[in-house]
Formats: sequence, structure tokens, C-alpha cells
Amino acid sequence: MLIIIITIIFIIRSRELSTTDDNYVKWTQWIFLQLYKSNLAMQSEVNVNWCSALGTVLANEEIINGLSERGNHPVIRMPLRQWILKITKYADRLEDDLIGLEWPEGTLSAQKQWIGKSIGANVKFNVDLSSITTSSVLSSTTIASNNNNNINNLDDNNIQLSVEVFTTRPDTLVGVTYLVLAPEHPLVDKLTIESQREDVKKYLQQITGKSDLERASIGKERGKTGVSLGSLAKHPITNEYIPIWIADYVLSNYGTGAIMAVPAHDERDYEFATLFNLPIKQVVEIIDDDTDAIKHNNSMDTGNSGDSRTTDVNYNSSNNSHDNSSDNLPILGYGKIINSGEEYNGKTSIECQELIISKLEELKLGNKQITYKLRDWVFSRQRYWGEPIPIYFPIEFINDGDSNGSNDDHMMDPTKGSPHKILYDHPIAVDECDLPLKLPEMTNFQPGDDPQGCLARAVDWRYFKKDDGKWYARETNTMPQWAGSCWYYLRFTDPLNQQSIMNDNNSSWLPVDLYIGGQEHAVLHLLYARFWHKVLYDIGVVNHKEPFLKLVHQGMILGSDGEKMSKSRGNVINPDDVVKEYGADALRVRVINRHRLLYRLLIF
Amino acid sequence: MGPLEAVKPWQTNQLMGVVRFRDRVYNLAKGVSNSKANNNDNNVVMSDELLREMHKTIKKVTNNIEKLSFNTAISNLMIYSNILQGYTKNDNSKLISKEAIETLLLLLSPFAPHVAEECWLLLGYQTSISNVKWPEYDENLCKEIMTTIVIQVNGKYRAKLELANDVKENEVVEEALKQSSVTKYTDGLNIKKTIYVPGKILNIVV
Repeated sequence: MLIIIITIIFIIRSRELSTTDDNYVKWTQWIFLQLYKSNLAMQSEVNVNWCSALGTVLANEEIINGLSERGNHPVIRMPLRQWILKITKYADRLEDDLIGLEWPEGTLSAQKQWIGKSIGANVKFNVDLSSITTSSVLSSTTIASNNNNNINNLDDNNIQLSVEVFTTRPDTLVGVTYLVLAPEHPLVDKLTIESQREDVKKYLQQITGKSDLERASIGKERGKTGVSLGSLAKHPITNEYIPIWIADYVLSNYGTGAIMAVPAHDERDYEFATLFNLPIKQVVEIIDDDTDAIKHNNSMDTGNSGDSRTTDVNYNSSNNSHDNSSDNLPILGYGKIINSGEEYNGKTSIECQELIISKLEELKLGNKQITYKLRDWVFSRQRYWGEPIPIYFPIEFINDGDSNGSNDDHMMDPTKGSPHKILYDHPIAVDECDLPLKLPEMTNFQPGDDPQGCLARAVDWRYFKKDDGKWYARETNTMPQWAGSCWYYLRFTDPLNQQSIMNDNNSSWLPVDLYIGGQEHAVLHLLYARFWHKVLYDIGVVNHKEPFLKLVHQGMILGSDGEKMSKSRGNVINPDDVVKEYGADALRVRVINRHRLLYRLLIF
Repeated sequence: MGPLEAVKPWQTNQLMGVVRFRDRVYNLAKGVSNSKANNNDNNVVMSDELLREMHKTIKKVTNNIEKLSFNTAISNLMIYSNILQGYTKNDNSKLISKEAIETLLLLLSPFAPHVAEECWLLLGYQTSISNVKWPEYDENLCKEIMTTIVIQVNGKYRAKLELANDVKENEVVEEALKQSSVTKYTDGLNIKKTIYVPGKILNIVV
């Protein structure tokens, strides 16, 4: 009986591959071109954290208080032209096709959460225009009297201002006591009443330039901040008027840029409401015997993800306490509805969600909405060592005193500094027969202080003339390391093929029967590889929808103190030393020979 | 989560058991190659018992590998190597057959390729062990030989059990006490002693 377990491990030298080989890079770039042709690869202006002292873009996690973690250099947030891959177009398939895979539960769950599909509702809060045009300062104590005095003139107006929000918890709608707009929200100006203009202006000046991560910090040294706009909005269900605020814990670039605040059921809203004395209204209580709710609450994400609130670094959505006293607010889980009127009281959260969505649709003040936590994949890097993105752009020369850019002048040479403009909105794909597009030889790989990266300095490589006599400029961004690892498994079936990425006959090797790797790749590598595989499936290169049928994560070997090996703990075991003393085979057999009962199992 | 996925601390002192196992395998191979060198009869015919053990081991290790229970595979190989060693110790003329040791090497080769390869060369082969076909097992040889054991209580026949012929006494007692025809006569009474004739009779004295 032949043992067919691992289909991708070959001992024969001819199946060895390296992702930096020309014959591999060619096909990585080929896949990019297929993505580009399918409109799955495009350019976009993305806000990045640029540190000119270090000469690189930094991840949010590498910045502390506006300074780089390494060296405390200033960091500015700026838009940078980047390539993105539209992985969000495959979000549903990436989630749906997880069914049937023999993967560890934790990994499947991690994939689902990263995709973060949530069903919620769009809700429209009509603004009370009279609250803006009156010049009186409104405080929470005058709202009640205003409700009585207010004549609804909206029917007479042709103009209707409204604030749209997205929520994953439509069941808590009646618990909404105020609205919060992101400071960059387009309606901030229109919704600010006269007497609040000064305060709002001051606040806006304070917070521009802060990164999303800083705005998210919920640390004790930096509590929530915000300012009331002074205007009021009408609650679609209760018809009460609620105040509108701006705060930087709401982001403009995600969701609608505005939220409906339910302080009794969201930690961030709760902190804000407590700080600014806004009403807190509990509408959900936890019950013990609702199995659907318990199942939902036990999944990790019971907070309001998918909306415009910042995702707090320290945010811990595990407050599933069964204590319903108001001392224990905010209550984050699903449960039974209270305080929401006859129509909704006593229903479960899930039942109530459906009812509220129907009611909103009936009133034309909202609808069901599916959103994803998954965002499009920022694919380009500004560093040298990566596969060049096989795209180039036309150039327009700028003549002094001549408003018509012209490319015909034979004296113009971009490599010699002739002033020119690169037309980034006219990208051209490199011909497939011209792949691989190789990196130029360079002696200085330093990033430099140009956010475009060091390839921008390789002028002889970057600028070239085509047969038409015109000059063009190559894309200077390179691919991330994920590119090579996205598809290497299938190249093992046909590593020497120069004509195509994989011979049809080799497809019987696929899909991979068993994939063994560390749990640290539970999300990104696996998700990216599945995405590329599905694109290859759509264009007919592979015959199966999923690349890896069965997944196993080998456990980590800890130091003898039971902790993860680290230099700082001094518990690192060097396998070379063990091999020297006992031999390689003894080490191999020992590592593999783990007895079931003797050790505690750590489940990530 | 199986042992492969488990996260474990490293204990260097637990290497010694593995080192001893590796040396045992090497010595077994050396023994066979020495008997060849001394022109002893190396066409030793395997005893039926050893043949069955060999096939059972092939089946067990093959299944272990498919389930990724590598630790159990190693345990089974250690047990098998102990059996082989038992044969060489007890009776000098009871040399283990070449096939018995070759099987051990083939099954061991994915885990300890260097030792397996070196032993393979010791046995006289010129080509690599990595190209040799994986051993196959005969299902019939893996079946346990069953025997009928008579269960008595105080000397009187109370039940008959079909059990493997190498079953241990405590296992027989356990199985016997599951039979209602036996417990009818032992319930509420102290078991003073048990008399076991291997493969034949168990007498429970109450």
C-alpha cells in the first residue's frame, strides 16, 4: 500500500524552487497581470505613516505618540499612491468555502473573523433643522421642553439633512441616546450651531494629523474627547430628539463616518457618555436560556465591529456578564430586549433585529446591510527586494513657458533630469512575453527620503524608450513577500515549465492533501493564498476552489522552563548543539516522540 | 488536538531513551551483518510468532503515520525492536531473519534516515533505502489468534469467553466480571483469589 500523504514534498533536485529565480518571478508577475486584467489590481491613494528620517512607511503598530518607535522620529500621515488587490470582491467565497475544509477550528474561526462578515442595518436619522437655525444653546435639560414645543416643519422643507449610520446591533436601536460624527464627516459644518462654532473649530485643529491608532487608544492617560455640535436628530423609532456630537473615536474612512451611540451596550460609547453626562439607556438584558444568544456571545466578537468606531487595541469584548444591574454596564452581548416599547420588549436580540430592520424599511429610514471587516489588500512596497510590479506609465515633458507637454522633443531625457510628469492614471501592462521584469543592479539599497523608494533612483532602469520613440517610466513599487508564498505550492508540480505556470496534466497533483505549517499564519498567508487560488480557478488554471484540504499546525517546542524560547529568557535550545552531542536522528525522533499524557496542551 | 500539534517544553534528559533505541537498532543490524560475515546461515526462517509481530507492526506504524500520530509510530517501533532484541538474546541460534530487521529499518527510515541508511548498507545493500518500497502487511497475519477460555466460579463452569491468546490474567478477570452469568455468583461476595491457566481456564474463588 503506497502511502500518499504529502503531495508536495519531493526529494528530486529538479523539483527544487526558489521564489527569487527568474523562472519563478516570471509567473508571479504573470499572476499579477491576470489580476490586473480582471480589474482586481488597481492603484489607490492610501493614507500611510511616512517617516522621512527612517525613509520608510511605518505600520500603525510601529508608531508611539506620533513618533517612530525606532529612534523617536516624527511621522506624518500622508496619501501615497499604492497598488491594492481587491480581495474584498472574494469575501463571500472566502468565507463560504471554509465549509468542508479539514482545518483546525481555531484557524477556521480566525479566517471568518478576519473577513468579519456582519449583517446589520443602515439607519437614517433625520436632522431637526430648526435646532440648527435657532441660536439658543441646547443642553440636555432643555431637550425635553424642545420636544414639546417643536413643530415639525420638515414636511414643508425640500431640504432634508440626515445622518446615516451603520450598525451591527439594530436590536439596540432604542437605546441610542446621541449620534457621533467623525471630525472629517462632510456634514459637520452644516450641523454645527452658531454658539458651538468656536469649540468645534478648536477641537478640529487639535486632532488633525493624529493616526487612526492614536485615535483608538483607550488608555488612561488619554481618555475620550469630543464636542457637541449643538444640533439634534430625530430617533426613527421613538421620535425623540437626540444630540449630535463629534469625536475622534469615530473614523471617517470606514463605514459611514458616523455612529449611533448606545452607551449601555458599547464600551467606547459608555466611556464617552459618562464623561460628557449623556443619557445611558439599557435595552438589552442577558438571559441564561437563549442558546442562540449564548452561542453568539461566546464567539469572540460581540462588539460593534464593522461600524465607524475605532478598533481599540485594548478593547476586550468579553463582558458577557449575567448580572443585569446597571452597575454592570456596558452589557455587550445578545440577550432579551427591555425598555424598547411593547413591540420589541421581551423579544430576543436576534428576533428584534429582524423586526427593527423591517420597521426601518417600512419607514424608509433604513435597510439591511452586510459589511465586512476585511479591507482591500495594500499590495505594493517601496523597497528594493521584491518582484517589480510589471506596469509602466507614459511621460509628459514639461517645457518651460510652454503649457503643452510634449514627448516629441528629442532633446528631452528624463534620465538626465528633463522635467516631466509621470501619467499614473494611464497604467500600461508589461507584455507577458517580456516577463520576467528583473530588478536592476544597484549598489545602494537605502530607502532614502523619497517615499517612492529606492527604485526611483535607478533612472536607467526606470525610464525607457519604446519603439514608438516615446519615453516611459516603470512602476517603482515592488511586491510584498506574500506574493511568492501565495502560489508556490502549485509550482512544485511543474517547476521547470517556461511556457506556462502549470501544465494541465499536473493538475491531478492538486489540491494539496495536507498542509503543515505554523499557527502564526492562521490568517494572512492562508487567506492570501486562498484568494489567489480562487482567481486562478476563475481563469481556469486550477480545477479546485480551495488549495489546502487538510491543515495541521505543528506545536511549538518551548524552552525547558515551559515558556516560549526567547533570548531574553535565556531558554533557547540550539539544535546544532544537540546534533553535535547526540546526532541528528536522535533529535528528530525525540522531537517527534511526544507522549500524549505527559505535557499540557496549549491551544492558541 | 493530537500530540503533533501540542506545544511542549524541551527536556534534554529525555533524549537518552531515544539514543538507546537508536543504538539498539544499530546493534541488531550489526548482528545480522556479522552473521553473514561469519557465513552463518542467514536464511533464517522467521517463527510464526515473529512473522505475525512484524506484520502487526507494519500495519500499526502505517496507520499511525497516516493519522500523524508519529509518537505512537515511534512507540510501536521501539516495542518491535525490543521483540527483535529478545530473540537474539534468548537463544544464540535463534537469529532474527534479515526480513525482520529490514522491515524495522524501512519503517524507521522516515524518522531516522541516517541510521536507517547506514544499517541498510551494513546489510549489504549498495543502493539507498529511500528508493525501496514501503513494506506491505498481510491482513490475515495481523489477526489475533483467539482462544476459548472457560470461566469458573468456585470450580463450577459459569461462562465461556473468546479472547486473544496472549491476553493477560487481569484482562480475563475484567472480561469475566462483565458477564452476568458470572456476576450472578460473585455479587456481594469477596473474591479470595483467582487461578488462571493461560489460554485455558480462569477460576474465581469467592
